[in-house]
Amino acid sequence: MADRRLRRSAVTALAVLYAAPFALLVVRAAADVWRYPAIVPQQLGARGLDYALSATGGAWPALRNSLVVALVTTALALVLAWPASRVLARGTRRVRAGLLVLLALPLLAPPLAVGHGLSTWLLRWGLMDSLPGLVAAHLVYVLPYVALLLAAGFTGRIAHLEEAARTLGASAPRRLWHVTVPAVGPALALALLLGFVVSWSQYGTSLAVAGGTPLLPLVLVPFVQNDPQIASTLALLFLGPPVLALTAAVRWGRHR
Amino acid sequence: MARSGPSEDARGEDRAPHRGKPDRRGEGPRDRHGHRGQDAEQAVHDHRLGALGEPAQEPHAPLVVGGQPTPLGKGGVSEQRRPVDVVGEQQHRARQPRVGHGGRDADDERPVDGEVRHDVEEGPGVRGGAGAGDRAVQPVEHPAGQPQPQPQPPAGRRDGDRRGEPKDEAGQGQRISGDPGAGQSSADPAGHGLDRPAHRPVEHQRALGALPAAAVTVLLFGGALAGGVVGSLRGPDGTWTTAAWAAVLADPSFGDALGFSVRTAVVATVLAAALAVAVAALIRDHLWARVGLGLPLLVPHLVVAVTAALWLAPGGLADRLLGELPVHLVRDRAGIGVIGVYVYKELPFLALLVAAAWSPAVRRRQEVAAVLGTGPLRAFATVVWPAVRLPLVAGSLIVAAFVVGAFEVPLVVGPTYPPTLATLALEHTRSVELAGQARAAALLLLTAGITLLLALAAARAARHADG
Repeated sequence: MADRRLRRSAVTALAVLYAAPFALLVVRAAADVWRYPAIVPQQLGARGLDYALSATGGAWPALRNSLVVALVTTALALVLAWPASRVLARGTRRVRAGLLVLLALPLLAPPLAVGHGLSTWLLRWGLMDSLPGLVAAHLVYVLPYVALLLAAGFTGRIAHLEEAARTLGASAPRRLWHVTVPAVGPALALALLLGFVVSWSQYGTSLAVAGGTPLLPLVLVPFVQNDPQIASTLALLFLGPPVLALTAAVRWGRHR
Repeated sequence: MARSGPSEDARGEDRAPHRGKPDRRGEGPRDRHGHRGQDAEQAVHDHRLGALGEPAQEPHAPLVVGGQPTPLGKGGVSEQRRPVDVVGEQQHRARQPRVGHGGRDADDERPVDGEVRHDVEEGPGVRGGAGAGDRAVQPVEHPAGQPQPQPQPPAGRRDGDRRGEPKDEAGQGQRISGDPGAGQSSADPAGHGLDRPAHRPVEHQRALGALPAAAVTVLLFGGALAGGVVGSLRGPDGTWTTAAWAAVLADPSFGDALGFSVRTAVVATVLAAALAVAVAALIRDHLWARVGLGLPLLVPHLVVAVTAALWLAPGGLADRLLGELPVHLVRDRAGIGVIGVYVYKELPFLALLVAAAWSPAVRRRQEVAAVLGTGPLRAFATVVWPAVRLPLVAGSLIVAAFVVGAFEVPLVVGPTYPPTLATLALEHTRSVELAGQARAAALLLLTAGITLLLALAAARAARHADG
């Protein structure tokens, strides 16, 4: 009993530790004036938001670019990872192990190294500072996450469900849409969510292959030192789409 | 090997009450959702066992009559295989001696987990298939009742919840194969004879499915490495030279950056891993805590770093609340800020991995150990640690590699000197001379090599840790 209470309070403490600090972002973003020793801001206002969304702030193109790159990368990764994750889940032992190592290997390499290496070729092909170049660079990190998470959904049960549907005469698209997709629903939703977030958060790769293209993280960093209010505003914008994607994924995973 | 004792015990203990009251499965929190489905599965399962007694052609007859020529390659064969599947599986287990099992256990846990699931899931799947004639709709609905959008924990849980089942099935198979010994010997070779040629080509086809992803990975990642090599060896005038490598290795800040990167990576990873085990022990019973712990994974590192800077930087909120902080936590030369941010950020990731591996089956083994009078620490070392070690090590490797190549976090909360390897490389790319790019490429290749070596060493250490 006491043990349970202890646990509950520890879990609560953990939740507070992981939620509360981010409230400061909201306060800081809304504080036009907050001079040193004061614990509460002297003046609230929307200067940060105004500046970030203005033409000089550049948040709009950054948001759009980040969003386009993340969505395209995730979609591409899904198409590539779908068959691969079936192998990861159901292939022979040797094939599974080899594929796992191959796909996971890029996760061990520094993002800046991958980005800088790719930039050698992108420069030659005139793809530096372009969205396709960004997608290619992000794909290196998005693909393994999507494949590994999707593989968790492709259990043996699904092969048998598909087989049953096939013997009942369901066509391939029908099987895919009515049997396979609902059956892997939660894993699929999570894979898409994390794929999106991984691409969305890429900094090193983006800086190396498209340092001149406005992307949210690239726009944000210079402000951290100079103007914390704008940095906080951009950080909140940066946090928005992952939260939206999470809600979408939860809903979708639940409704399937 | 030492593990097989308690685990067998736990499984045995698992099985015993199972027969008496099948309701026992409904105990887990998520089982409430899957309950109906499992009951139905159980019903089909029983039906099939009945079918095994009398040859029971009804469920198969329509399928055969339905006369689909291609399914015979796949569906048809397994249709035939099904009635003897229980026996076949039991045989299969019998033929695979304990040594093989134990060896795999000690070797690498993850594939075994996958393997177990493979076996386990085959059970319910086959059941669903056996009743395909009348119940095809039901299993399709089944997952809809499991809304958990998070992969690892449910996978682990489901895994654990069902871990008792194949055993159960094997047990029943034993009973069956025990009675009609002749039937078994005649049925089994048929099953296996058909199994081989029918299923192998399917596996091959599936392996082909991995080609696009593998090719893209080789192309992009290999291309990146090759690009790094080419870039590091190309002089500003287009000739091939190793000057960049020599310059990087001769640079005193390289040693400082290397030391700083490796030190922060090792400290942050070890701290995060140790705390992750503690947190996993706390939250393993709270499904919502687990879901909640998934949320920080969605927060980009950069946002965590910015938040940390707002709180802890000189003049930040912590300074204002507590007066001057006695130590500099941000932009300090020891890298406390960097370590802190990474521990904070990676802890949920590692804790979720550990919690997923800390399955109900492992907890039952813990209970068995407690009943047998083992202390909690010893029970942890002998029962829990072997189960969580592999996911923890694999996750820690990713974390350590990430911190060695750390970038945006040190840019925001790290000291200006020493830099990390990645920030040093960034300085090189921003240098005005053209040779800066080559030096950056060489440095980044070195960094990638270091993280891969670190990963290899840690993987080896983990493998030999208890063998």
